[in-house]
This record gives sequence, structure tokens and C-alpha cells, in this order.
Amino acid sequence: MSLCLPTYVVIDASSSMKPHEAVLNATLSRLHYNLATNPRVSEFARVSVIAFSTDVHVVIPMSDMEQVPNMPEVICGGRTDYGKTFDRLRECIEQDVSSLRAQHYSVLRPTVFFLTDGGPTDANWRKSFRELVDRNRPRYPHVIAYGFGGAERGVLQVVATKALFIADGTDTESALSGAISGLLNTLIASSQTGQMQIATDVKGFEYVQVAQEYVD
Amino acid sequence: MTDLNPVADGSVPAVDPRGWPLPRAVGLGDLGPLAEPISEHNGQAVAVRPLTDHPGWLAKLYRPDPHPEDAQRIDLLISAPDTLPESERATLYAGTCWPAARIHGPGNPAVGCVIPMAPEHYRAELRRGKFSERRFLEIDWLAKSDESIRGVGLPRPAFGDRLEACRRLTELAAILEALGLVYSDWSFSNAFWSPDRRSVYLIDVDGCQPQKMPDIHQPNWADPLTPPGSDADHCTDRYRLGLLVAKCLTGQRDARAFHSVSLSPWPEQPALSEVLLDMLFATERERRPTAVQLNQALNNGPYLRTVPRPTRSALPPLPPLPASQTVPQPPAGTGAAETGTADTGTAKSGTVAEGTVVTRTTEKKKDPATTWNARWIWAFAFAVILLIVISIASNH
Repeated sequence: MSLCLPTYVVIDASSSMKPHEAVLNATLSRLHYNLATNPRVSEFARVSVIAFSTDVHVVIPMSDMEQVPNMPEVICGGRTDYGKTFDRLRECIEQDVSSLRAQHYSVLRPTVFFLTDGGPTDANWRKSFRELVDRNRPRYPHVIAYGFGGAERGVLQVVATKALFIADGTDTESALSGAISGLLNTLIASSQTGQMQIATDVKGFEYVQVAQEYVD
Repeated sequence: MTDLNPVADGSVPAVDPRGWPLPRAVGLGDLGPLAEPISEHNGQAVAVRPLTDHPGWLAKLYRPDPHPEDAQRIDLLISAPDTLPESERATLYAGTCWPAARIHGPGNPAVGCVIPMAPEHYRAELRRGKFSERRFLEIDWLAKSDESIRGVGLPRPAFGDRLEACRRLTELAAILEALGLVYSDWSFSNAFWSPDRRSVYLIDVDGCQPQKMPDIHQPNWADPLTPPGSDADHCTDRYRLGLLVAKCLTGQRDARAFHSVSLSPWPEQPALSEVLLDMLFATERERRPTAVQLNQALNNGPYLRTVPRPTRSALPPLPPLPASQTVPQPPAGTGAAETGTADTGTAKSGTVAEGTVVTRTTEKKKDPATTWNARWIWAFAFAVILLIVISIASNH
């Protein structure tokens, strides 16, 4: 059976990202090109792209990116609702892992790449997050977080369960590009070994080791 | 059978036929300036850097954890082609980045090695949407459907193109096997493919070792009969070579490839299916056919195997089909043809909501066969109506 890493690219598309919308879409298109033209990575990492603001939108459902004709455009606006995002992620993971297993894949622990430029605007996000990463759920994901712009370090230190990257003062557009490159390098390295290999050298970001590294 | 023993009479070619001008063991400082790395932290190499004074040559610099035996091993590799017949030596040099010199430094006899740069014709423009990039084309692409290959702007390979690439691969594997070398790293990432010249180019061959070596793990390439932690040997190589050839010939990457092989869809290569199935599913690893046998089968030859035939494990279950796919096949009576389609159209519905608006592109490709059937039905109906009208008109 083929190994498969369910991968979720979760992107903050709230109003604070509006000025950077064009760069966000160009960066996502570049990510799509790089995945779609690298069969080994697209075979290993099945990717879903999720944009969140006031609501959560599954931009690309779990797919072999080579089969996706092009990356849809994301239009930014609204609040930064973390709670709904984590709830939706939990639902997607349940559904996607079952679907991949039905296709005879050996499914690795899902990985969430969480990119945000702001703190949560909802009050109860922690409950949703705890449910998402609850170790009693067999399909809980690893979360790798990239924070830039107005992202709150303290919040991301809670959200990141595997690795945290905080922009080192670089502007939002460069940070976006750096985060997507880091994500891509992580997927490429992981596809070569069949295990999670986090690219820690990400341009424009400080790598922060996660304080509580859980043992799987 | 050739092996790595030095030529007894010392008749070693004095000059590298590929044009490497310096000795086979050279100090790092003697190479001249090194250009910016073209690759870093990849496998055993810490960097691969072009030699400014020697265009077309690269310094592959290893991680700084020297193994004293590495120097001897690299020297053996460099001199190994000397023992080959002229034609095989030419094949090996043309189809691999075979090391030309060992690089030594202060206190380290094996800092790295000098290898030739892969020829330019192994690069291709990969286009998708508005992006395009010229890169080395990994053989990974041959293990994709014709539709996928066309999807990045490459020409759709005919079955003959797939066959030729696999012939070249197995030719190289047979030479390595004859030299008693284990490669272990047979996979999609270690060979380039030239669609124009129907040739392949093997990289990372400087990692080869005599008889056995640590198994290089890559996901989806694990030999089921080589337990984790044990060394890779010629049997492991045979399994991985069979896997690579099965996938490249069928354009399928999962268990479908095995089922396609078992259908033996290649009438011009009557032994091919049996050889591949023995390589992949023989329950005794020592009974796996050799690279030479696979090469013979690919060249329309017979499969001469000892009796009793190797017992084989069952094929893995067929995964559900994500999209309609067919295996590339030759047309009746010829060795090469262009066939095979795969519907890769992905239809997605759009969503519009407060805050985040996502627009989507829907692109569902029509099945050409369905389209043609519909056209024929319409043409037939039109002809019947026309006949009725003519009949009525003639009666009047």
C-alpha cells in the first residue's frame, strides 16, 4: 500500500490580509505549480487548502494536486475565526482519512500548516482546538504554525503542536512567500523519507521549538 | 561476467574518454574555484558545485563524517569501467554520472568526487497554468498517465518511448550487476528521462557499493523480502528495478501497475510479464530474475528460467479507480504506438460567502470515446430521417 500524508494548508483570509490578496493568490498558485509538477510529492502528500475568516471555506478538497486544474482565487475579508476553522478541520480529517483508507493508502498522521497574520477574534476557539488535537482521537493532526503581521506569538505557541515559525520582522508578503516555501520544502523532504521532516530553515522566520512535543 | 578486480596487466586507460583532464585522485585545492551550489543537503552530499575551470564537471562534496573505507570504494568505482568491454563502458559513461575522480582534502581522503554534469537534453520545460520552469526531467514522469504527461506540456509518450527508456534503464542495471555493484537507490528520483532521445541518465551512482550496502529507504520502494535494518543486495536491486520498470511501462504508480503487468498486454514482448511478476512477487528473493533477463525480455527475447518455476505471492488488491485509465499498449503487429488515456478532469463547485469568497474553475474533460459515440448516433439518426424524406418525396 502506498504511503500518504494528508496535508491541510489553512490560510488566514481575513480583512487584514486584504492588502496582500494578490500576493496570497500568486503564492498559492506557485504552490500548486510546484506540487502539480512534482509527481513524487503529489503522490505522497494529498493536499487540501482551507481559507478562513468569518467563515471557513474548503478551497481545494483533499486532492492529488496534479489532478487539480488550477488554484482557485481567494478573496479576503471578514474576521479571524479560529474556532470554526478547527471544527471544520476536524470534520475534514475524519472524512478524508476514511476516504484515503478506502483507496488503500497507508495514511500517516495528518499535518496542518496553519498560516495567520492575526489573533483569533472569537472567544471560544480553545475548546475547538483542544477537540482537534485531542490525543484520545486516533486521527488528531500535527499542527505547524507560521505567524506573521499581527499574529500573536502566545496564541500560536498553543496552536503549534509540532513546530512554530514566527516572522522575524519581515513584511507580510515576503513572509507569505517564505512560509509557503518552508511548507513545500517540508513536503519534499518528507516525501523522500516517508516521515515528517520539517524544514526549519525558513527565510524571514524564526524557528521556535514547540515546548510540548508530544510523543505519538 | 565482469567484476571489480583490477585489470591484471595494468592496461588501464590513461585518459578518461569523457575528457576529465586531471588525475583520478585530486586535491580539493587543485580543482580551482567552485561555483555556487546547484544542490545542497541532498542525500549523502552536503553540496554539489560546478567546477569553474572545468565546464561540464561538478564537485560532489560529502557530509563531513568520513568513512575511511569510502576512499577505497570510490577508487574502485572510478576504475571499474576499465574492466568493461568498450561498448559497455561507453554505455555506462553516456548513461550515468559515473565518478571521474576522488577529491581528497587535509585529513580526509574522501571529501567527495568529481562527476559529469547531466547532459542538457535531459532538461525540459514543465508548464502548468501560467507557470513554467526548465528542469531536469525525472523518470518519475514516465510513471504517469499519458494525460498527466501532456498536462505539463510534454509530448505524450508512445508505448515505444516507454519501452525504450526501460530498455536503457535495464541495460545500465545489467552493467552494474555485472560489476558486482549494488545501487539500492532505484527509484523515480534517481534517473532523468529524455523524451526526445528516448534515453535515461542515472544519477547518484557514486553511492554504489560492492555486493551489499545499507538499504536506502524511500517510501513506496521498500522490498518486502528485505527486512528493515538489513543490507540491500543484488536481490533488493532486482525488486526495485522491476518495480520501476513496471510503473514506467504502465504509467501507473500503485497496485494497478501489477495488475496491468499480469494481463501481459505486450504481444511483442511475450516474456516480459512473467519476468516482471517473478521479480516483484517471487517468494524467494534469490529466485528473482536478473537485470539481464529483464533487459532480454524488454528486447522481445525469451525468459529462460530454471524449473521448478518460482512460487509467487498474490497480487495486492486492486485499489478503487479514481478515474478511467488504460495501460499504454502497442498496436497489433508493431512495437510502438500511441495509446492510453486518463480522465483527469476535476470538477469543483464554487462557493460564495461573507468574508472569504472563493472562485473556482470547473474543468471536466469529455471522454473522447463518448463524444464519438454520440456523434455517430446523431449521424445515423440524421441519415434515417433523410432516407424517409427522400422516400416520401420520390413517392410523390
